[in-house]
Amino acid sequence: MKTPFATPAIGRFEATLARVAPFMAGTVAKARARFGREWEEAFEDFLNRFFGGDDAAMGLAIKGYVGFSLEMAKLQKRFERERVYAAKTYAEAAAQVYHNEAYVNTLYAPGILLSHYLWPHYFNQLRWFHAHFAPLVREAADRRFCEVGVGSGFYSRQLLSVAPDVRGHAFDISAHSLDYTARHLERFGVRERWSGTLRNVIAAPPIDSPDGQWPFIVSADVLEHLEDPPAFLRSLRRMLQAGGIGFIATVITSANTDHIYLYNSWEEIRDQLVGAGFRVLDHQEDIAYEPRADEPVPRIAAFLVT
Amino acid sequence: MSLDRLQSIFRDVFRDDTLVIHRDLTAKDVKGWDSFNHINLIVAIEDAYGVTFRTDEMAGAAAVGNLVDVLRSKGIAIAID
Repeated sequence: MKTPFATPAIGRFEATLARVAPFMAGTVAKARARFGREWEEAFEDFLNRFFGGDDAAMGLAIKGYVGFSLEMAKLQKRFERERVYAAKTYAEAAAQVYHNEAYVNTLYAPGILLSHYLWPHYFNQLRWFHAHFAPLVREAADRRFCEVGVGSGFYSRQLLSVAPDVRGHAFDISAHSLDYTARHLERFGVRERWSGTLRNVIAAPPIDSPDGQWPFIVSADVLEHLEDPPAFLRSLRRMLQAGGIGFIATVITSANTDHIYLYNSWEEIRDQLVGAGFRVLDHQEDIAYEPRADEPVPRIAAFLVT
Repeated sequence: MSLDRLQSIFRDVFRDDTLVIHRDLTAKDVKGWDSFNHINLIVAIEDAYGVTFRTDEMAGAAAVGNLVDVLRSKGIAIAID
């Protein structure tokens, strides 16, 4: 007989979400029904460590998640009609999002963080990450990784938690993302094994610095934010040691405030990876929801590369 | 501005010709008012009234009354109980 798993933090989260946004009341139940105990354990642990019982902080993050989700859903409706992302330069997106402290802290980072548990395609990608990439880091002799475009610190935290001597470094163009990540990692007790640097790796490749190569590279949901993803991938390739492994993920037909580069299929991403000098070892694609007709649906694709 | 127009949008989005809206009506009371249809509702209202909802206005529209208040703030007054 299975032992029931108590999830008081998830219960408080669900009640707050239903109060703040009644139209999202079913979100938690859907994730629980789909992923079961594995999801309950991961999300309960996250809520307890990240918020530490501070329900007011959790309420603010929920509001951020609701805004993040609705903003994205509204842009997706527009994308369904026009089949292109709203025209925006990288500089405009950076000013609106990455260099906007209030936006990062109240909407963007909480939205990214919580969507990894509440959006089925993102939780599926997390499971794939833990099945196919994290064990390689855990079992390696050299357990150093670099994450480029750290966002909320979600994937850095995953890797830092797989073994007590994993060490991580991050490059990001957003000081606010680096600060948010540091606070995130502090709450999980892994902050001292991580460092972050403000750097645009296209304009200033780290290979030009001492210790500019790593055995493991992570870059999740960065390519779609760029005007020239191949240039970014070439820089990433130079950061990967010979024989190293990278986890690179991005979105397909998924609109958002700062999404600039449109991928219509996972093959387009694969071709850019190969063009940058990577060899693709494996990949997984996940879908946000089944299309109702022939509308484009948000998808994500993750690749293991060397 | 007529309440009928807003009610008609609700009936179209939720495919319920008997739906009667009032200020306190929330997603708890309407079958199918999930996040997907919340966006359909917002977009339909934007198209019908020629307005744009900010993110905080979309997120804060937990009840019909909130939607009506947003429209009023944009110069569209709808009398509703």
